[in-house]
Amino acid sequence: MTANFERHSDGVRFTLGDAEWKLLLELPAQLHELYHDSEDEAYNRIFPRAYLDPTEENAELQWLEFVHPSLVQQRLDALGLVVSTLEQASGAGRGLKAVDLDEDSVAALLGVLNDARLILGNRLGINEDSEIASAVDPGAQAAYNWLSYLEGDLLETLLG
Amino acid sequence: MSRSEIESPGTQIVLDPELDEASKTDRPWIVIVWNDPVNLMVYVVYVLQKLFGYSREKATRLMMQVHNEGKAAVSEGQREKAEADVARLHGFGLWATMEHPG
Repeated sequence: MTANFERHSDGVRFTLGDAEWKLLLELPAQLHELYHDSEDEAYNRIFPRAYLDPTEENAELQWLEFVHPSLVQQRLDALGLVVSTLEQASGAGRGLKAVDLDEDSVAALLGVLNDARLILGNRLGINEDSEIASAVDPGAQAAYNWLSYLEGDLLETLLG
Repeated sequence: MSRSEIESPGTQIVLDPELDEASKTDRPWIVIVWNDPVNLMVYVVYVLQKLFGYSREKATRLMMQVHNEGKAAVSEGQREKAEADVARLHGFGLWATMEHPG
């Protein structure tokens, strides 16, 4: 894995391999689809209930009506920003691309990486006992591991 | 983290419905973040600091409570504030709900 984040005066410089760049650019379309598919199993993990108490069903519905459109819109905005940011990446030699992230694009990328992990984690059936699922889908597991590495690296850069 | 402890509506005994309605509106709410196997520990710390302005120490302590005990109360307030906090946490992909303390 060649991708990495480096903090500098104006933000964070994101360097990644051409193949990684292509993989990342595929995420937004997949997330976009899920954000509108309430039948998908992972949908409830991205948009969970506010109230567990079933006697608060009316409050739940009112809350949902009030906040759901903006929760969706905020995610769609992040997808758009991640795509336009990645498209600005320029060649950095040796099969690498690099792009400077400002505060907004850092936040958008972090949100997209995290949502993609939540969805893949759901698909893979990742639970408390094992971060490695029973390898039913090695491709998805590899993608999950790679996204975890990227997100961890970005957070380390932000918090470090 | 099981939801089975939640009483179904049919089993709830309301001694005095009128009193219950009146007191309901004033009772404070707590916002709970639940443990989940996917969110990175450092991510939970990052979100709690960013959303609530908590110190690194406080955010880390709450994250460890979520991790070790399965959940932690991360904020509290009247219904509207709790609802807004839950929505903001959901915006960051944390699994949050709200309930009355106790």
